[in-house]
Amino acid sequence: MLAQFIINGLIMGVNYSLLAIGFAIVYNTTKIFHIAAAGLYVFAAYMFWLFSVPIGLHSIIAGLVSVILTMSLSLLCEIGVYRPLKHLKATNNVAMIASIGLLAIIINSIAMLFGNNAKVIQTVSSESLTIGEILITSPQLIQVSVGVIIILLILILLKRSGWGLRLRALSDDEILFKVLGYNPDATRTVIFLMSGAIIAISSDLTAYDLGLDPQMGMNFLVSAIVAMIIGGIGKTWTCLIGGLTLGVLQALVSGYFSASWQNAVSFILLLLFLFLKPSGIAGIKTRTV
Amino acid sequence: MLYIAHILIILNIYIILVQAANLTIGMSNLLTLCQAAFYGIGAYLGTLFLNQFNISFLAIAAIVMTATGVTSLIISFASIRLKGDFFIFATLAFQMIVFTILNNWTTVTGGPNGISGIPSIKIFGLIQLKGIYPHLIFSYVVAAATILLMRNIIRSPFGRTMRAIRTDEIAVVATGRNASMYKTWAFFISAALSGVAGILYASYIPYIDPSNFTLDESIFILSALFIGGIGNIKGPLLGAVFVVVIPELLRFVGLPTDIAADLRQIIYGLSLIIVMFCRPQGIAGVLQPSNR
Amino acid sequence: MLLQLKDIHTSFTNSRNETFDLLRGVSLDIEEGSITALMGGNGSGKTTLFNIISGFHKNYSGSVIFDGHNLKRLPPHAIASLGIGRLFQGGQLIPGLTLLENLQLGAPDTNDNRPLSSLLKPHQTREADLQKKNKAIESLIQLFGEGNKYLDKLYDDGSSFSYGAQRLLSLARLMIGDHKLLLLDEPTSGVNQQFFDTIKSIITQIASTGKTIFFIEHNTKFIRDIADSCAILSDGIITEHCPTDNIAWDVAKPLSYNTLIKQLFHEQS
Repeated sequence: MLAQFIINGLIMGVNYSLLAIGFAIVYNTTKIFHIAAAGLYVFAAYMFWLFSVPIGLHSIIAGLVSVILTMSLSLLCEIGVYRPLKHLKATNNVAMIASIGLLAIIINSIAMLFGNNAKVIQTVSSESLTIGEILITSPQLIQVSVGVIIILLILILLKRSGWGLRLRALSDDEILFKVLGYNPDATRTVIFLMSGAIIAISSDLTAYDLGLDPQMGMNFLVSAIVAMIIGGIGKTWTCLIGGLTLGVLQALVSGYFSASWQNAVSFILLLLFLFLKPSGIAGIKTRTV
Repeated sequence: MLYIAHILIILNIYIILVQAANLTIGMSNLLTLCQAAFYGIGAYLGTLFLNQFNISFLAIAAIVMTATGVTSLIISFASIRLKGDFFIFATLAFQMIVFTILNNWTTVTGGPNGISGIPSIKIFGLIQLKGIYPHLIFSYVVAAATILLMRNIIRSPFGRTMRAIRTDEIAVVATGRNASMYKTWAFFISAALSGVAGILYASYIPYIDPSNFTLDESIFILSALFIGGIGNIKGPLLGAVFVVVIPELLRFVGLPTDIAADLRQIIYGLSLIIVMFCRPQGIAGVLQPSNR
Repeated sequence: MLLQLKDIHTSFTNSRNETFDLLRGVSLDIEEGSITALMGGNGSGKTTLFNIISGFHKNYSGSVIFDGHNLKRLPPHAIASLGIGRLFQGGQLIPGLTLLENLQLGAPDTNDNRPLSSLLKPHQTREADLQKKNKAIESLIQLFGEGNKYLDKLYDDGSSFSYGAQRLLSLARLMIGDHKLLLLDEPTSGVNQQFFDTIKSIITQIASTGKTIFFIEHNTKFIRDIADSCAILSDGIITEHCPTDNIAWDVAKPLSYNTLIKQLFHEQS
């Protein structure tokens, strides 16, 4: 049983890691507490459902459409709200409150259009793979393989390409960034497009397995934020460590204890990290001002 | 008329909650996401005492305020030194833990089913509030007392130092004042008042379940505060009116209930964004939300 | 000896994990009632040294003894309460508070640390606050004379005053407190000639009340006029600490290039 729980936990952990990365690349670079990410998450799932179930496209195409639409909405959040606020010299707190506003608009528009009931994408009972005592369903297999590939791609992209460097430069010192002749707005555009895509992939993978409802976003986002913090704020790869740790922990708690207490356990873990080791598992020193 | 009285009672409860939120968020620059946790602890603890003991409101309020206040101290000691977002994360974690406990500790809280048939509060010795109008009058009294208390605090030398800490903490510390202590006090009072709002709610409705005290509720109170305005008395007052009364007007447009509920949330969302663009200090506020 | 710094070391680590030793064994004694200038190039660690004394920078080795207390384990507010006042670089009035409120903040903490005191003991609280107000007005009169213009502006917002005026009034705020030692970080930086002279006279006045003054300054004229002694911080240590008169001002001391440039700049303006 232990092996099964750990595998389930790791698979969930990959999902958390993805969403955590989607949140973290915005948070680390712009310092915006991007709560609207939960709205994007829900939006992506509903677009996936819309194009695969009622419209009947193939899952992969529906997924792609969902990713593209979510990227657009993510960019719309930036261009419509965050960027003008930044040009008005608004503080991060103001951006966060506006983000709460965006979240309310997105989630409730979806609830108004599609109803508050839960929906499923995959109706037939799925095939599964058995290795020894461990059972992995095919949606889980898709989740973990696509998730890992995407995470690796993002990490390699950030490490190798000039964009990764620009992102890091922007998060370190925006004024210097400007002085060096880069355009922060253009970089932010890329950040929000990337973040939208990552959030959508994470959302589609989960929705394919577990279904969707308008209130799912906040729960997942909150777990992803916990993953980001316990991994270590400030970097991207730490989200993976945090996500996997959190996923396994939750799986163990719900396996051996009760699923309803798993949230309490993850937040107690978060508190312990905040108080004892705010730099996270990776232990990167962050500059606190 | 019963309907209007109901709205007014809810409004009074939110006035207390939003004023309490202003003390931490507006006056002390501590962005918290756990207002609803204290509100919930107040409601459940109040219910426990209303159910078990034949004591008056003042006694219960004293117990609840002490309990929520002391709980806030635990968070304060551990996390007030945490900078900026880390404090928000800690309050978020506390909110989620409290909700999970309310939802799962079935023997005490009734779990997701909640607790129903809560006896009304008793005042002046043991006269029980019967019906909606006594509750209305009583909620007015408590809300007014809260406003007077806030006015007193904001205008006092303590409030002056709080305002100073809010803008320039280091300068104030260099005058020999312990900034953390001021914040701890603000958080304490805010938690205690939210607890009292919880008792009022439990006694009036008289049914509580964990869904009233979620993270969304905390965010809702926060939104009310930021729409109304931070840093003074008028702002939170206006914010509470805005979020409680305006949505009720939607009823008269004749929309189906569930669509109206969604539309209400969309209107909050839009208002928040518009207010942040046009008047980041809120419609009636005086202070800019300062940077973390 | 009012303040003793013994063998203070501190270093910084940047984001690439490279370590810089900023202070490498600073030792300095400040005598009670003296006016000491701290000189040194930009980035030589003068402000960091002040932050170590005030308790805002805790990551150091060595000891800071003030009036018999070791400050190492004390939080900044407790250090301030022992009688160390501080003027920050660019340190100004707090916006959002009136001039009077700003000055009242300078008074030692007596009545504003309990939220309910004005509710429970309204009379006492009001009396104590009135005392602070009187003390503020008194010090304004003492510094700027009877009927000076600031008395009419007691209820103006702190941010409505000019930069130079805010500097002056910040010094006035320090005068209200019961400080034994004042740490002034570049009191004259960025102010024009008129304020420059006023600031000089204020500091002299404050010193005449027996307070010890330790200040960072680049302007050599200012230092020559008011300081008893000078300490030079260079390469992380105090290279020289001697009476002001002993310094041959014409032959430039081995200050860093930065400082020389800055001096020339100040002398001309």
